[in-house]
Amino acid sequence: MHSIPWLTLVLVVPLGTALLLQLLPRTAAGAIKATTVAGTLAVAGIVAGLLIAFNQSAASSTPGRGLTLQFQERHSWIPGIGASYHLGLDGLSGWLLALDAAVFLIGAVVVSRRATERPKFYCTLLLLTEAATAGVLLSADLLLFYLFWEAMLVPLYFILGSYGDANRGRATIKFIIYTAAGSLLMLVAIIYITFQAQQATASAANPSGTLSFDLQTLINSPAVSAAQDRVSVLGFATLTPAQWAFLAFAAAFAIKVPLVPFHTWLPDSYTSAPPQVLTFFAGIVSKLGAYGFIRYGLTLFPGPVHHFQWLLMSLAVVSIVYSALLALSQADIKRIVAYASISHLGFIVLGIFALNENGINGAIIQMINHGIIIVALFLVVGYIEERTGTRDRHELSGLEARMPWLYALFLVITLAGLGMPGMNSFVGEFTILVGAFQANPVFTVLAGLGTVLACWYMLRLHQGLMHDPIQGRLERIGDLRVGEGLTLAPLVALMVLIGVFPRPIGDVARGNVHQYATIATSEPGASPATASAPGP
Amino acid sequence: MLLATQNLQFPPTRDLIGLLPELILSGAFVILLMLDLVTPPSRRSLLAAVSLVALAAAMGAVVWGWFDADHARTIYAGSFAYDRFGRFVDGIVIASAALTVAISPDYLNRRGLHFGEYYALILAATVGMMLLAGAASLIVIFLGIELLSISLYILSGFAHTETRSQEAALKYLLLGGFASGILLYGMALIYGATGHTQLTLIKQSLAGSSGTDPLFLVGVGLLFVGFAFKVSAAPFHWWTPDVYQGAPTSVTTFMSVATKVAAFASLIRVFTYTFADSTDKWTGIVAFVAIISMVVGNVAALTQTSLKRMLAYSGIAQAGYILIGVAVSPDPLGTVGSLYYLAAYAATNLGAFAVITVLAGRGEDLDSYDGIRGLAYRRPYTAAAMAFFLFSLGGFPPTAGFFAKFLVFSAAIHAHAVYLALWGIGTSVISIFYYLRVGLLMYTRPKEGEETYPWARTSLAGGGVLAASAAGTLVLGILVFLIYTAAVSAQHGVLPVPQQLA
Amino acid sequence: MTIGITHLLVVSAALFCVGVFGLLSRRNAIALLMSVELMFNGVNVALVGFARFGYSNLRPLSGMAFALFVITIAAAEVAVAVALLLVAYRRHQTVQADELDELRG
Repeated sequence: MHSIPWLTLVLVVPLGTALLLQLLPRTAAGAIKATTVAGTLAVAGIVAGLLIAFNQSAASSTPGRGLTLQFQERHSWIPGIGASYHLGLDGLSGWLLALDAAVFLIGAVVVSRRATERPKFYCTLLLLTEAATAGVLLSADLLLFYLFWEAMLVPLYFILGSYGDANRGRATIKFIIYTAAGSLLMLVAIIYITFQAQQATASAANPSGTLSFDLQTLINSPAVSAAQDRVSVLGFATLTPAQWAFLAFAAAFAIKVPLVPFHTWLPDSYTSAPPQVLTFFAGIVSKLGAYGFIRYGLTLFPGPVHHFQWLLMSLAVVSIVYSALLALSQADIKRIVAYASISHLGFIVLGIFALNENGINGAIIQMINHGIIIVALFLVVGYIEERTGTRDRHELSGLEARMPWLYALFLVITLAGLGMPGMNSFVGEFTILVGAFQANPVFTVLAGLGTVLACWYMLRLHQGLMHDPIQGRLERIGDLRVGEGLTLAPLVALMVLIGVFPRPIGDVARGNVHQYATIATSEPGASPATASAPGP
Repeated sequence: MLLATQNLQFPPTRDLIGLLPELILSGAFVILLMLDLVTPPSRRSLLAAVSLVALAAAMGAVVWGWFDADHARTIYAGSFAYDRFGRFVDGIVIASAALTVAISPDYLNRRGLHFGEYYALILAATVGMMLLAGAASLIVIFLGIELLSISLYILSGFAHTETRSQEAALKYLLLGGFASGILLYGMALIYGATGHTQLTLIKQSLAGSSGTDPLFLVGVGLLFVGFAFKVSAAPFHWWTPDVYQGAPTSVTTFMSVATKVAAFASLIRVFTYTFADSTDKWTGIVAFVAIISMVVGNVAALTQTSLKRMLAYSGIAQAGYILIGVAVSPDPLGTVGSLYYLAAYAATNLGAFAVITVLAGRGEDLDSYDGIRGLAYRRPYTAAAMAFFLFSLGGFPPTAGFFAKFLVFSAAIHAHAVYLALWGIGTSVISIFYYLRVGLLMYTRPKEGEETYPWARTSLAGGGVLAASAAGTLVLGILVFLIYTAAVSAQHGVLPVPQQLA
Repeated sequence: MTIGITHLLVVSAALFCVGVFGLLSRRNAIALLMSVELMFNGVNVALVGFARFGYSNLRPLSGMAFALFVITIAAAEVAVAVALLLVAYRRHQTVQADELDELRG
């Protein structure tokens, strides 16, 4: 087991499959799609094996500010600047990796069942995106993480730019510019904190110190938040360097999530992209922002995180309420789902910045739930648009009569989407709200408003589409085909399963969640027991 | 008051060996001119083959020199630096020349410009660039610049039947002469202030003084302006778009890459290492020019509709990024960053221009944005290569451009010049607009019945050059340690003696 | 009054400035070429002046050798320039620089 680099395999299998596709002729659509499904299936198999082999108690045995990673691989990459090829899995990235493998498998299955323009191009890009997103989740070295984080944009650019509606060019460039702007700010911050940590390791024997991009090293370096001199801009004393660095990281992650007011790229690109792209684009990419907040934001900047807790929590609440209101005002059902997505992601960020175990635990569960629900919703929207040729809420009604199977599945998805008890997102949202309440009751009450609004727009959508008398021109549409139903069914089953039996997620993640909460509430160099007082 | 004679006691063979790559190429230059007389017009591709053999031999000599120059020394009475820094740059220049020569025969045949002098002139320019990269004396710097410039003047006007090409050549010549004049005046003043033309001696004579001699400072300013012209940094850039657009594309490919690399090498050697004791006097100006270049280059590129002009403005912006490495002198990380950037820029930009060269059909040069619309539907691999180069220019991983930018920004932050890094990322975001716009055009399906540009078929040599550039761009983006280690080693050995990298 | 380095530097700067002014103001390509030559010659005067009257540690041969190189290279540049001008003249019957203005953007 230990001799095989499983985590590297998770990266190599999609890349290798992508290379394999290049050997197939462009016209062999069937073979191309089958190979892609096989590749993503293989990744899903490896990830499932990793989760089964995951040692749930390993994290609890590491004291202090450690972050326990399993299945680690570490090789020298650029020795001159201390960057290494360092992969590792923890309870957080484990579940997200499972989600990642699942959404790409669904993406591959969906595309294999419909006629796609230039399948070879599409499948290659899908596999490259899978490798890049998996790399983001697996890397434990800041430079390697950034490499995958930015590299992810390259295949996404081609997919969004080549597949989508007439508005895709503008939407794609907007998406890339937004995310790249945030990421570049983060790059400057990464460079800055590594040089700070380097100076702190300087000694008589090694006057310039050791440069390292390793996450574990940087977590334990007191230098990152040590500099207390405020940076002066145009003569005004502003924030400390560590606070600026945290804001740079937060900008990158907040754009990716996205939080209001950094969200305007999302409705455009989600509306432009076809359903088979949205399975993985909406399914995993936005979760990576939330992942970054936990894995890098909380761990590297415990002081600034507390300083800006109110800011992030209020942005999260604004996201929840504002985009729920926007969802209410839309006519295009795809846009409704897009805004609903932003609203739900706000809950995740709220949970993360509660900075306690309940909040983080809930955020992890909710990330999985959000991935499942959003993929299912976009698939439903896609099926409806495919049959009726419209996405306008007002032109659709009474589909229940023509599409009983879709009606049933959509009902479960709707209930899951609005957080009905017994469904998966109830568990997640409830845990988040408990954690957030411990941190800040006011924000929690305001966020609760979001769940009320969610009931409103989700139920209105479902009723409007399904009930009411059917409009004449919709008479001839047919129900879901078997393949389509079988694509949706596992997602719906998961929603119910996680709703009634959420424990496995918590069990796997618990040890690491405890570590994240500990790291986020203690300063490096101090023992966690004495340093629970927040902030600088 | 005679020339110091002890320098002449070196065994001349040792000096000759130091110039071996230059001598090989100079010999090949003469041979090519003579071969051209006896080669029938239909077999002129043979001349390209001969040039490639000579370039390969020179490359071998450079690689050998890399190991031999482990202990850096000056040769020819201190006027030429035999060090790893020079070999590093020579390697980039020769590789660029070889790749250019490889794509040239097809392109020149299609454009009806296939004359034998072309290859001889490319080699002459290459020798000039290598002399410039190793020059350790103001005289040799001037000689190198003029040798490369005069060859490139002729090459720019090589399409002698086209108004654009002639105009480009004349503009290049007049503005290049102007720049040379300013550079020379700066050199004369520095000679007057320090009494020497050899860089090591200039450095010695500056060591005692505070560097406030007005003669010296004006000289440094003029010298910098002259260099800024040659590396096409704003605000001394106006010749660049016109010349790049007017010159035959294969020539643009070569000069956009190799000239900039060689001129930057000399700029770094003179400023960062010779004027090392007075960095506080001139780094402010360099930082200013770097910022102006990044802003002007990227903003002007936004509105272009010509591929060559867009890449020209992009090159101006890239010059700004490379200048960051000079502006943070004497931080040795700056030089390493600049060297890495030069290697990355060479691989990427050469690839981008090579795509335009390889695709150019019989009629007009491929130049307007409309000319590449829908390229991905007819030439998927060429389009993918172009997109890859554009992503590298935009600084996305896993390409060379990302690590180049990463290293210069690191140098800026390391030297506590965070504002330079922030200007850098701000302008990078702007640059993504125009690179991606071109990328999207290639992936836009041509409308039914719409005529696309008659792209040439990619020959074996053309495809090979694109593959080599793409491979270089990828290697510099993933196997970073290969070139990074070399760049650190080059910085360690640079003459005049540098500050050590920690 | 003895002629010293100051006088030579003034002459050299004047020549140089005349060259720069000419380059910026003239439109005839031949005149532009002559302006470039004036700049080069201004440099030569400075180089030779420094070599003859410069500070005591100066190496006179460097400056004079430099001047010789500049003269030679200026000649080479003119040869190329005149060749290019001839080609342009044959095609356009003019050497006015502003009538060659196809490249812009």
